[in-house]
Amino acid sequence: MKLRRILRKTAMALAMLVVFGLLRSPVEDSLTRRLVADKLLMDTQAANLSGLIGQSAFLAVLGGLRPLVAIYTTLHAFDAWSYREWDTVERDYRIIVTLIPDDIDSWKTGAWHLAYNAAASYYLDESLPMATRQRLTREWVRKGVAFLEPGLEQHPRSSALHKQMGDIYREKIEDPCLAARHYKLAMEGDAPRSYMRRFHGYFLARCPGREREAYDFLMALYREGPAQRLPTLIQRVKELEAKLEIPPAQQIPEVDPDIEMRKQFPHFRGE
Amino acid sequence: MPIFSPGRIWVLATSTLTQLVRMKSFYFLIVFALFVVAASNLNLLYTAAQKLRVVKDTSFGAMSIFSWLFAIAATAVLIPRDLEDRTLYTILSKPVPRLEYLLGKLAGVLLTIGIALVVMQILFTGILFLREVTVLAEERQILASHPENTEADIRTQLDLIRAQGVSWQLLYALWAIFLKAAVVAALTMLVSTFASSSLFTMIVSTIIFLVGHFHKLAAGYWIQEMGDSLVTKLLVKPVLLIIPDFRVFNVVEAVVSGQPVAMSAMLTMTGLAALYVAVYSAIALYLFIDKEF
Repeated sequence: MKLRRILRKTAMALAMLVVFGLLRSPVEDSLTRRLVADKLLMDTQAANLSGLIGQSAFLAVLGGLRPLVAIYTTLHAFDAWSYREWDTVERDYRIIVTLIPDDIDSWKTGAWHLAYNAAASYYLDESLPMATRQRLTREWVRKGVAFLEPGLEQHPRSSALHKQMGDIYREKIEDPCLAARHYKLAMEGDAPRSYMRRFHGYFLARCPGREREAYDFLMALYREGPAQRLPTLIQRVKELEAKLEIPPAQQIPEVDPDIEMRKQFPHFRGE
Repeated sequence: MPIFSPGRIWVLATSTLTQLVRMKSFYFLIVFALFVVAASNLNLLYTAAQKLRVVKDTSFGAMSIFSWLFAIAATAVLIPRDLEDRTLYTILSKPVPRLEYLLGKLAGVLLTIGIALVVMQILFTGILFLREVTVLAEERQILASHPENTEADIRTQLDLIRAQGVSWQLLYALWAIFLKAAVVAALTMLVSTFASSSLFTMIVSTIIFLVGHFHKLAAGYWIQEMGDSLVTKLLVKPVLLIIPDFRVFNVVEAVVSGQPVAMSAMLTMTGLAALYVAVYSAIALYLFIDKEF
């Protein structure tokens, strides 16, 4: 008798839960869709993490402890960086940016580790033959670029990320055209800084075939006043004046600072 | 005597609060304070904004863990404890309906969690504010030392850091944590009305809580793997319907990182949590109403 009562009550309670489930599901599904669309909830990409971070950490991620797992992974990456374990650093930063894709600084730091620290570490590794060192350096710089690309796809208006990419193209790949392109996107982005405009002009000036565009851009900056007339800007304008054969009457009055330097220091080679 | 008395529920809630305070549950706040202070001093090549973000992430992570763990542990022990102390017999022998007893106990747990969360929020806000002031002063000095930075540049950069500082939006995160804890507490109370021991209640509630975070994701993959057959549906659908979906309360992470959240979404979430609490309490009452002790 007692067992029958227990079974009846259990069945009834389960039925109530099922009915409640049927009623709440549409509301929950619509709320979830809305929260995912508003980037307030992590989408199914969380599932891709399971193979990378282990089951317990994956459960923690799903349980709403995503930032804590990201902090733990940052600690792990920091440790790996100290021991120059670059593959681990790369893997950890990939996890971090998957966990907290909105954190611009993590994209920047990850790319910096790969394109600068790892690349330099291999370049300076004297235990390797020179050809291998150069190959690995190029490879890690490319990895830095590849790491940053999805960050730019997700944050196309991020000045900080475009600046970072511009820096890599400028300093590591020495591609002035792509550097200029990213500095332009940085200056048009969400948090532009005044030097980003000058940087765009400086590297556009070095981009073959775009000298006229660079000259017009740098002259517009020059006309803004003394605050913009920095030695590099003067030097680039003088360089372009010579290349574009600007008539002397239209040339700026300042002297190329590199010429002045060479007068004082004969061994000075400029940039 | 009124059939339903909020006054009686309040008395039961406050006595539950006293009971939980005597269990030294608020000692957790000392651990929390140490945790937040440690997080605010953590520096792993962090930028200024990241330094503030880490304080927020660790604090809200700790609040989140505390709230659901406490909701399960405290609710699981309440009815067995009352049975052990024989308080339950004293209460139920008086003209106190069983509904009021359950609601009073649940309200007591929620009151305790609410107070703990508010204290944690005050502690955390104080530490975050102090950290924000320090970080902004340091960053201003660094930026000003570089002549290429104009005043507008400095302002833009400091605004980006301020976006990670103290803001009213963080209260939404606190509210979402409380709502999740409320659902967990109501669920645990429901389990405890038919459980044989506190340990059983804790284990079952923890399992449901964990499964409730990924069952929809797992069901989707399972259906994809096994095919959308009737058998699969019959196996998967009841699990999806019976186990609550806790994922909707995970907005905390995004809110803490500075994503704006619409008030309407928070209201829907609140309504959903209230519905969970009401239905779970009703089912708990159904199981508890003629339970013999």
